[in-house]
Amino acid sequence: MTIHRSRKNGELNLLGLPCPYPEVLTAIKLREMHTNDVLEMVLDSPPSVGIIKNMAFKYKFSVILAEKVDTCTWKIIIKKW
Amino acid sequence: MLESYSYDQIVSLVPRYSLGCDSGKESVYFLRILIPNGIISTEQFKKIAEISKKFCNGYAEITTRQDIQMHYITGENAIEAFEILEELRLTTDKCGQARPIARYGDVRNIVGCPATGIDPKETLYCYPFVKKIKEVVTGNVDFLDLPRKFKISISGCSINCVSPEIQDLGLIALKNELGQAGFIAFLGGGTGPAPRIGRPLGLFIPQDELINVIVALLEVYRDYGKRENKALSRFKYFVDEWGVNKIREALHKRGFSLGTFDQKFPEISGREHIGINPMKQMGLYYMNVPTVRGRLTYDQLVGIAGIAEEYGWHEIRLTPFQNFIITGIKREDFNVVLSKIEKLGFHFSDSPMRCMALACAQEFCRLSVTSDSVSQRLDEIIRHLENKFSIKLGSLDIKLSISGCPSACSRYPIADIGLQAVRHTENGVIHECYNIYVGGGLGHSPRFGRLVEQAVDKENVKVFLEKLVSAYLCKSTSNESFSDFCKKRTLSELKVLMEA
Repeated sequence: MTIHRSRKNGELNLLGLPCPYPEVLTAIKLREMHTNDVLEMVLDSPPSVGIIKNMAFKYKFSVILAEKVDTCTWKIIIKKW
Repeated sequence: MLESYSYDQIVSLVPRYSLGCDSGKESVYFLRILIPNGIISTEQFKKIAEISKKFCNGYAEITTRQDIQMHYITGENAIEAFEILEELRLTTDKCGQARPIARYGDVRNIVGCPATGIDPKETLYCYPFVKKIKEVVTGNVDFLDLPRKFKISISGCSINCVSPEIQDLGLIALKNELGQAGFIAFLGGGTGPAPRIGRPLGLFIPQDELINVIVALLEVYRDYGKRENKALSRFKYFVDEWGVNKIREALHKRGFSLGTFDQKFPEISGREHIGINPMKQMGLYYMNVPTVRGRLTYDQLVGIAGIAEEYGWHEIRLTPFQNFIITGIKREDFNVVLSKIEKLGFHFSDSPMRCMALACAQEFCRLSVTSDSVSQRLDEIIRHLENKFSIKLGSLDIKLSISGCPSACSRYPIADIGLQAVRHTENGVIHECYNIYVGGGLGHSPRFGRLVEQAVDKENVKVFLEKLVSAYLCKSTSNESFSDFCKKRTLSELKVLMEA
């Protein structure tokens, strides 16, 4: 619900990218975000999932969703308050 | 800093650069820089020293694949480091290890004899072949999605220092009966879980066919290697499944017409170019300096480059035994070079045990099962044995290796004495211990070490080894190697010797 009320300003397809690219490309996106913006990403690098969640926490963003879609794909949604 | 890069700029680096994941000492990532054949100019070496100082806490390691590996780098700093490496025409490993699927395997640093081109006994100067295959695979999307990583060695040295029998593809230069220099190959070797000695291909590969044959083998593995199960997708399992004959057929179908070759295992393999040795270039010498398991500080990196520039060939050669070689030294400069080496904190030695001791980067590794520093543990063991046996040990050709997990990055299965960290639980208490493997080795009769002692308390390992070495010194016949001494004895006999 929170997602629908927000502006989904970005999507990132990070599939196939090794470390540190998922983290780096997410960091760039996060800096461009405004209040209530939402960023949705898919990725398949397991270490990046934890790193991105930690980064969002560090920058005081909310991780709205971080779920395993299938055996090797994750979806993460981050919102800036 | 990241703001200065566009999305496309960053993504353009992907095929050539990545970081691996650390899990210790508060390091999140490692940066593993490929140094083909271990040969690097002093200019490149100094720039790498600067990367280590700026981004990696002034610390670096020489790996057993002749890479330079650093830790503590952040994701954001990595992009700047990659750009510096691009200017230096250096690349990194491509990290696909963390994925739960058999994808994104790449060709790892191509190892070669660090004495190539300078060793008077070398069959063939192999560095040009290493550079050529590196050019073919680097950033080439055709070879960035192999089922798993792929390890190649190319060398023609008399002691096969790169251990070709434990590579995915080990290539040895030799001459055929017509006196033509070419290559033979070992396929599907490896020292991790379920170790394998490479299987002889049994074909003679002419020099002008070598690169095409390597490419063909990579394509066969990429196209037919199993991807269903990551744990069973390394090339060694592919060779198990297909067998050498089917691989030979695949090469034949691709148009290769290679003559058969009665391929035997090399007489000597997997030993180090120890000490100061004459080069084939008259009047010049190369000096192999043992390190403490490849660990180098920023000051040491800069200092090594300075010595090589002042007294050598403006290059540094990294060895598969985590040591470095300075080339092109004149005899009259020996003393001053040795003095400068000592001032940097290295202890020059031609003791085989010191020069061939290997340890993994356990303290940073996510696979490690121990908090015991394997590097320090190995150093302690060597010092203990040196103190106990003094001069005798200096001449003993014993290869020691220690690993923090079963993946065997330090190749303990082929060491004379191999130590593998394990955890042992007793009465609910976890003890840091080591399994002791004995009698591994390559050469004419390659074999993996046998597990003689399980879960020996870390403080007692040195005592067990002291007893074994003592027995060898007392009971071995003349010219009997340590490995052969162990081979002749049953596990029970070896246990008795160690526990006496």
